[in-house]
Amino acid sequence: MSQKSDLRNRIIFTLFLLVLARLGIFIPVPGIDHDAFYASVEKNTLVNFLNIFSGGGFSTIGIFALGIVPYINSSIVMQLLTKIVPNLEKLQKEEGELGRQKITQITRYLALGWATLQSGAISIWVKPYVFNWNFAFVCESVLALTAGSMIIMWLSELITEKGIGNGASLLIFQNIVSGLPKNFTQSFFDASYSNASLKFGLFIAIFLLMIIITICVQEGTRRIKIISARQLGKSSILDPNSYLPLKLNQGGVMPIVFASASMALPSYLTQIIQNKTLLQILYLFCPNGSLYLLLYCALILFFSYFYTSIVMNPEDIAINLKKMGASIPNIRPGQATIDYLQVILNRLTFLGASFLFTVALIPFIIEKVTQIQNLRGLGATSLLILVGVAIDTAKQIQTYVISKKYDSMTK
Amino acid sequence: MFNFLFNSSNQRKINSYAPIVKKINALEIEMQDLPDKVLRAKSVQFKSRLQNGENLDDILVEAFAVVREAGLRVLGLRVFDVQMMGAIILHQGKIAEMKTGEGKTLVATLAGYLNALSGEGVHVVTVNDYLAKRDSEWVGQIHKFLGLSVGLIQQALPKVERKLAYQCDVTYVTNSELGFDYLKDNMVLSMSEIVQNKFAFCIIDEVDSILIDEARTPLIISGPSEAPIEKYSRTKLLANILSKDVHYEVDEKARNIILTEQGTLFCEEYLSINNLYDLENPWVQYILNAIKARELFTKDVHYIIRDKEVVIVDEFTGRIMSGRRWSDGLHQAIEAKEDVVIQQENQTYASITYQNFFLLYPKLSGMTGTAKTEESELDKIYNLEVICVPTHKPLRRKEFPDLVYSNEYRKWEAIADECYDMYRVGRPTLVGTTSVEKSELLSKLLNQYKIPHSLLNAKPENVEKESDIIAQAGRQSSVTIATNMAGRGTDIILGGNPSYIAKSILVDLLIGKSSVKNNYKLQQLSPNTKISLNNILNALETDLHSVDFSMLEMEKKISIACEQVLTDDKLEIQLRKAYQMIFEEFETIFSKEREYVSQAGGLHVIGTERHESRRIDNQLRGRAGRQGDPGSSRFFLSVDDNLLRIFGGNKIADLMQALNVDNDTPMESTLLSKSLEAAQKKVEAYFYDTRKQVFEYDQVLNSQRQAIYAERRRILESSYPRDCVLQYAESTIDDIITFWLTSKENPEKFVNLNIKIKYLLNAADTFSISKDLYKDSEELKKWIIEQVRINYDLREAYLEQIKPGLIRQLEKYYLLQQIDNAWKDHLQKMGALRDSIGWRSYGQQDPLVEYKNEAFNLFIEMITHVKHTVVYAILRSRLMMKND
Repeated sequence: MSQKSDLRNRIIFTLFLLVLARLGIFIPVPGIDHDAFYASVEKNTLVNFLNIFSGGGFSTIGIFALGIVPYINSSIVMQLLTKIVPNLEKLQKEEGELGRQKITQITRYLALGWATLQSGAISIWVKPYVFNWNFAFVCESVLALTAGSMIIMWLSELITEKGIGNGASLLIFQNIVSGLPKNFTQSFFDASYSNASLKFGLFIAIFLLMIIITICVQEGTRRIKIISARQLGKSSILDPNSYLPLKLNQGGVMPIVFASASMALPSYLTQIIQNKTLLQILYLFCPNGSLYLLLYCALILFFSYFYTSIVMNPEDIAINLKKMGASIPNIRPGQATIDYLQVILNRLTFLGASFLFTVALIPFIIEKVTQIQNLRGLGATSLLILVGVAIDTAKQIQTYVISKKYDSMTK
Repeated sequence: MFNFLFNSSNQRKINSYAPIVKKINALEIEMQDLPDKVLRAKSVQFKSRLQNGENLDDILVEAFAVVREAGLRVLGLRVFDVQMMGAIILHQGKIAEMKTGEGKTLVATLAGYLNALSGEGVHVVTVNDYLAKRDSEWVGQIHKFLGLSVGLIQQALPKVERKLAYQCDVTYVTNSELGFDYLKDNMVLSMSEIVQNKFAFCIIDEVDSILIDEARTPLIISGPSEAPIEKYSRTKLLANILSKDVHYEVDEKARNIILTEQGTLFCEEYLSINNLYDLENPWVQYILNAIKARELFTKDVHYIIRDKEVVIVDEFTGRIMSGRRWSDGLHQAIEAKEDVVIQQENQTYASITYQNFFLLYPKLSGMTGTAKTEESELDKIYNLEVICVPTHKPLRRKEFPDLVYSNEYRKWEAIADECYDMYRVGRPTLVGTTSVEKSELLSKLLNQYKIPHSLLNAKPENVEKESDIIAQAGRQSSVTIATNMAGRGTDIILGGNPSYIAKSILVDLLIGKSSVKNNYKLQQLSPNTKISLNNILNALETDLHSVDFSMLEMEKKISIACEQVLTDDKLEIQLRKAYQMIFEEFETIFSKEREYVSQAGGLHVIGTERHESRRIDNQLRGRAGRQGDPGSSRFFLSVDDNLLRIFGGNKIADLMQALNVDNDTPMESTLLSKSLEAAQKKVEAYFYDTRKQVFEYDQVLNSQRQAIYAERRRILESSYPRDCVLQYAESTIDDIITFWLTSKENPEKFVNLNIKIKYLLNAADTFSISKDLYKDSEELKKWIIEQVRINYDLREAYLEQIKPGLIRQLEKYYLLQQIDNAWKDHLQKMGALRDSIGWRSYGQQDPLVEYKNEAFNLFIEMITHVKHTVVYAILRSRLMMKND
């Protein structure tokens, strides 16, 4: 089997599935007055935020409107659960392939549940725009949306298995990218803006800057040298490839997602609460309040630490090091190693969180300075995802290129 | 759940073979009428038809019909229809699952013959030397009768004969010999030393054993390297003082040792050092190995001591694996523990996993009794489909449900009781144990019960008697205790195996030099037979003295005598007479016993422990009820068994508790059997995981191995390696120029190109590159290459004067030597990379992807290193020549 055509086939296969996933978004769920709906949701920020991930599905309610979101959410839930529930942890760590398959299966069921709930909510939410809202409609649309999201999930698994890159990541990537042109047109070619070209130039510059920072955040790692007992004595030089990489930003997009979700809470509360003093305090934390950014910063920091403490446990690392008979040069195994790692992790997380905050801050600043709205689509979350997925996929493609090179050497 | 679907699809495939078999059957009468000569001439006809553009499938029907007839004439065996189906499956490059006693060996002959007609060699792979030899001598006759050559590879076979054997049409060989020969072929320094031909088609007997069980550990060729032996003896003493759970913890599942902090401190104090993990003076690995040797490796279970050497016992086959050693200092630690001589540590020179080795065959097939459970693995890794062939006669074996005891002592008691019962009834019994130690324990117990029995395990004194023991294992009231050795390939015939015993008597008489009088096996023979046997032997005495046969030659003579091959050797004819006499005598004794034993219920198989894989259990069960014989099997288990203890979890113990069983009553419940099977499945999945990982990672190394071996072979075959050297020189110059160009931008690291090139060319001080050339790097490169060529021509002319052809030898030698050295170092680096790459997952990177990328960098580094060293060595070799 030729590796070359293998890579080509995989890429073609992936692109084909991505196109398929995209097409489904434009097949509308029946029974909805799409024009009315479109007009009304355009200004809804929550929907806009959701659109980032589901690729504009919500402004039309296509059958793939839920997209990969339920699957992603249930993966995140499972990731957290496996750290908390001992039975699941055992399943993941000790039972090998079979255990992982079981976890995947649970994740799928969770996604199914999530999709059902979400589509249920949607079918109630769109009531004002439905020609003939009744129980049959709810059933129909729940069925359509849930099935759509399951199909997307299947496509994503197909991509992971037979295509290239991680299916779920690529689908999100596609959804974000597909939103970009719309964002651009809205921002720059609106007649109300003067000297658009200047702003466009400025925007590009800032955009590049943001990408650079994002890459730093995404790829920044602290490499802690490691020596394994088996290699000890074979050569007295430290193997440069033997290191424990600790990421600057362990939590990926999660701290920002959690933080921005929490930031919506004060504005939401202002709509319910009547008490005046409370309201005043809450207004401080609303988008135009004076303490808004401070709270945002604090939340990002908090969630960064929170997430890091969940995904990265120095005690675990120390135990694993021991199991493998490995150690960090000049650091004693056991408590000393745990302490050493904890200090490093704390510093890294602080630094990473600061960077994250910077990336998250830039769109706000641009908005303030240039008056360009609708830049949220290019916020930190999207960028982090774009950069992360692009790098991972490139690395995978790289491995195919390498095997092609081996092949040419064999001939 | 999908059993129904599975069966039907399997059935569909089997049905699709029926028309072909029908066609073959139609030719049977026609073939019967052909004289031997015409039958033999068929092979030549087939070959020419193949050359004229027909393919193997076109001649399949006729070829199989020819082999069937040949088998009938030579061995007296007619190939059954189901065997024909098996052969078609093999020919299609799939796996045929056939039960014990269905005649797999014969099936391989059909597919082997057909594929050998294409002129490319066919390899028939068996698990051990004994089987390879038996098969080549026995069914190999069919090939010989039909005019094909048959080769046999055995462990000690010298290189010249090895090469001849590989050049035969059909070669019988064990998997390890085949693999090692491949590795060795890629380490030779001249073409004449290569023994193997191109791989074409391979039939693997006991395919699951080789492709799955053995796939966990790679084949390794290694050479000695330095080892501080005193560290092993010191850590051995240290390990004896340390106590479990205080100083260290044992992870039985992963077979691993973890030092606790207290343990670390204790060791450092004991050894009066500061840091166990010190780079300059590391101790930790020695300590871990010493504890492992003490806690996880038991004598007579994992290894035995033979001739004051620690020899590994294979857990799946129960046989010793001589020559293999545990790596990373573990073997030495065990040697220290057993107070035998500690041997040198080894450095890997070459290695390959069976997975990647067998994938080198363009067409691969196999047969076994147990493959269906591992179907998905065989399909995913080897792209081999498993098809179950129905049995010739319906299976009559009874499988009794497992009995589970609350402790091990009760279990062994119950087993002994069962043996006693069977012994009294007169049924033959085979007890399968998991280790040498356990087999001996049971043997002692049976001695107390005064039950006569034979013992088969990896101990050398028992291995010698293997074929005797198996020959008699089916006799009335015989009790045989065996390790897994009695699993695969052993055919226990009810009532006893007359041909085995007749042959073994001949071997005793002629090689063992025992006389007719004192051989205990002959005591059952009638006096008449003894007398005539004595006469034959006495007549042969003079012949034997005049020509002094070596043992091997003698064995060969006996083998020929014992089979129905045409022969005109006088000695062989006489021997055959003797053989026939003994055979017939035993045949009558045994057939009576067979009748009795069959009525009593046939062979009873007792399993004493569940193995890690269901296949091994099924192999043991499969000894009973061969070819439609009656038989039964039962497993005796206890809660203390390894499998239940390590993998079963608390579920089963809880279940026992819940059912409130007292100590004596065994449990026989389907619920329990189910959870046992679940535990086994878990273990299988666990090991499949490890194998898959080994495979995924080894695939990277495999691409590199293929690339290096291809380059090596290219050089080896080349009669003019100069081109290769010059090619290397060009890329070296490329590297130098690129390096120089990049260094130009950085004044600190600036290299003087002139000095570099002068050094490379070994030129005089006056050498200088003209200023104009610096401007255009392309021109510069061309000029330097030109200089190198001129330089090289001069050197060649000079060396040619000293000794014609010397330069070609030098080139070849340098190239091969540098490649081999670099590859050796590279393997070590890759090992280190493999060890450390797992840590990447902490940085949310996929370790496999990282491994692939890093490994490629290492590989490129190695290749560059090889090119540079070869070029420098050859271009600057003038000094060395002066010394000559």
